[in-house]
Amino acid sequence: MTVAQTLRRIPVSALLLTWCAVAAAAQPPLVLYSAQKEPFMRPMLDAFTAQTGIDVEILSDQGPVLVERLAAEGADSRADVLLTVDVGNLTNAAARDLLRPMDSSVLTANIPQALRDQEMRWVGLSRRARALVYAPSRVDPAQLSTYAALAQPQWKGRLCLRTSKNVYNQSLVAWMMTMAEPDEVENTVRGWVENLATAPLPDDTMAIRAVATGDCDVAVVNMYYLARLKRDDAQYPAAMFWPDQDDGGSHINILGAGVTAASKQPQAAQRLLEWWSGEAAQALLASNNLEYPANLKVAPDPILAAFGPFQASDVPLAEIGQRQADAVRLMDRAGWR
Amino acid sequence: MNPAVSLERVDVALMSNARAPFGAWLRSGLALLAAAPALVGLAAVLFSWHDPQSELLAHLARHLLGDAVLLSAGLALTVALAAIVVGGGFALLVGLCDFRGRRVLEVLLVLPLAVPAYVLAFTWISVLDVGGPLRGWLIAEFGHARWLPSLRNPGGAWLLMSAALYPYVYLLTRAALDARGRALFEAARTLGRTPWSAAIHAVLPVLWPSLIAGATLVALEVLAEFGAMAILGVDTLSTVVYRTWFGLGSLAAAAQVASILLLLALLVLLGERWAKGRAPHATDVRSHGPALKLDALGTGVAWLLALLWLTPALLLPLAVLGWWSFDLDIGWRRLLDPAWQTLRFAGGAASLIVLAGMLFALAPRAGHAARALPWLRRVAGLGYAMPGVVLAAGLMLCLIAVERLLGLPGVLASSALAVWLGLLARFMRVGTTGAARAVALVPASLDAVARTLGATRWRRLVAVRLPLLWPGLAATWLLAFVECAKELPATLMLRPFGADTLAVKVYNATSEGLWQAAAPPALAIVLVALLPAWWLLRDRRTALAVTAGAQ
Repeated sequence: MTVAQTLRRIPVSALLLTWCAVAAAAQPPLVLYSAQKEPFMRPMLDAFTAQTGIDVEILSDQGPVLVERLAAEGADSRADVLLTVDVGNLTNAAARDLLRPMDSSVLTANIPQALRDQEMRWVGLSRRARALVYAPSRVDPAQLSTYAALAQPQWKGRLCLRTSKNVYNQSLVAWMMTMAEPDEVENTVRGWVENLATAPLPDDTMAIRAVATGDCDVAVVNMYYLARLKRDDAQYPAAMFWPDQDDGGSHINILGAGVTAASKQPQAAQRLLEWWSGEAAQALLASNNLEYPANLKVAPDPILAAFGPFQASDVPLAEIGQRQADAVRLMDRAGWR
Repeated sequence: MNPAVSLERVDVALMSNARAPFGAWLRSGLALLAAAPALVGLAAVLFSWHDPQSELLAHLARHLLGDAVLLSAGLALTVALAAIVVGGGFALLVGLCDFRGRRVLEVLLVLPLAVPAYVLAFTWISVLDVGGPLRGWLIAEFGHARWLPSLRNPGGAWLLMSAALYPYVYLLTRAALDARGRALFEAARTLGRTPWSAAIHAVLPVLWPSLIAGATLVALEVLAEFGAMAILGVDTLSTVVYRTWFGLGSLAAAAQVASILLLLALLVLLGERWAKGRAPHATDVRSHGPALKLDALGTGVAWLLALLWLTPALLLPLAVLGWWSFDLDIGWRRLLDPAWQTLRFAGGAASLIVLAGMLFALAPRAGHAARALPWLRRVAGLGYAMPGVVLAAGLMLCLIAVERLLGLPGVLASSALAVWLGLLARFMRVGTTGAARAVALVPASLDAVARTLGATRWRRLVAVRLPLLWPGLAATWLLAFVECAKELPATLMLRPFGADTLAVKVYNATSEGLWQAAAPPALAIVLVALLPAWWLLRDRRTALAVTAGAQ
């Protein structure tokens, strides 16, 4: 072997050695099945990687698809964490034994009881309130009170709703079903449908815009959609009203996650969730996505704080998730398309 | 070329191949393999019936299914009719008449093909509907906006789907005109017919098969459409399928609802057969150059009609997307990777689709396979009428089962291969129709002559057939590419980790109500799809092949 040949081999073997050393030391990446789209999650996960050295890969799709996928993959699944944007898919995944109970004093300390599963198979990571948006120029907030009151005849032709295909509306009705008889809820929903100013809309932003331009006077939306519009234009002509303040509080849903039953590294996966529930990460999540932190020690973003403090319903979210399919049937019966 | 010989089609030459049993079996086997993804998806749909969700289905039947079936069937039929009138009408206009700017208009009329229906829907809605600037202005000025009808209803869906889908009929019809219609028009004129009478009595019957073939594609697309229908709030079977899975939580019941959609698709295909059977046979006489010169008034009317139609179908969406993108000042660089992913998935899938089409077009014409393969082709083509979400779910679950069986978890179900298979399952019909047309355009005589001269089978394929097939296959590839680039649910479900296509980027934004943020990737889809569309029309031979011999 000539000197030149020997020299040529050095970089290759050096590279190989380094690679082996790195591969042995590095933690395999965590795999996150996420119903929240990647652009909303990336800044968070990058911060986690920077602090812990653990990479996170994302597979994003709609919640039900991810649950079906987890079930089919069974014990072979590469997923470590399932994250959804509503409680229905989490309870469904838990009921199908796709999530494993966590034993974490950090999570129980950081996340309020109503926002997590009793068996700790999932926890909420941020809170999203479904509230009313009204046109301050045409509506006196004193006229507003509860979600159910929007079924009264005085709102005929003045209400905007998003389609019932949307999971937030399904959770809202499921939440109402935890507190009232189905017949009563169905009558309320029927009243809403009769009061609609226009056929159900494809998204919450459009409902808020409709309030702003005068097509309707009041709409039911998740608060962060208005927060986003207010972030772009502080004078945006629509205002927030917190319903049901004297009747147990406004309906909230969660962005939540759990460790999969199939995870090969449940410790690291749980560590991600614990990190996520911590104050620094909660503040980041809250300001990036304009949602209320699940960890009550963390203050909301100033744009949300401007909506004022509100009483959130303390109905356990698990109860809402279990009623989701029934809620959809009720909406079908009541003619909410 | 002797016209008497040219009438013989390549089928005859291919008949001889049936004598080579091994080759025949091999080709049949490959065709079966190509149809497999679609068959798997469809089988998954039908297999769901082993556990009928009767209680859920009864609920759906009571509240949603009746209207949904009527809407799906009604829209499929009426949009197909509109596409025939609009697509056929414009094809006649630019095919038979000569006027200033005809070549430009000819190209412009194809371009709406590149605008996905869901993009068309959200641009229209955001400008014209509730919460948009126009209604806002009317309400501020006059206190109401009653003069501006909403588009979020079946009528709006009809208009929008017609605007999005008419190019299929236009493309197919224009090719048939180039191939033979114009000569007949000239002949009828020579015999003293007026232009109208010549067009109706001499040309229309010859265009019939192309009109029907185009209308069939349109009807199947309408049945499968989810995105635009959801934005417009029109509850067709496709959206009920989605609701059943995502809202009522039953994939099995969703698949069972999807089988109703399959029945409707079968009805469409039966209708196609019936309509085609009523077509007269045409002779193959070619003629070039438009036959009727329009004066200034005629030219003005032609352009006015075209612009009236192209404004909603092309100019308005492009203007809105352009305005939003400009306003947003986004880094176009960030679209490079999604554009590459789109090219990679749609390009690979389009190649597979053309290959599958060729396997069926060149399949043995004798023996058992000859009887079985056309059925296989028709059944696998039904994927075109299925909502992508159900077909993809069937395929995903099957791929997961296979990877578990092989002990290779996570290798198949989220991969480029999976996306390619998913798109092949969905759009195989584009390949089989296109390849059949390409083959039909190649005179059998040439192959026969080459054989007489002692050329081997391989040499005949490479030196004679492929060069002749090329324009038709290129055109088919391009159509398939455009379809795949626009597709969403299958791509979303089967793509590798982190591989976001442009369509996925659009979805990420629109599903959060961020329509403005969806504009740059949506515009990029249109551009990525425009390139091939432009190329398709630039090359006269290719353009001819797309349209000719649609039956």
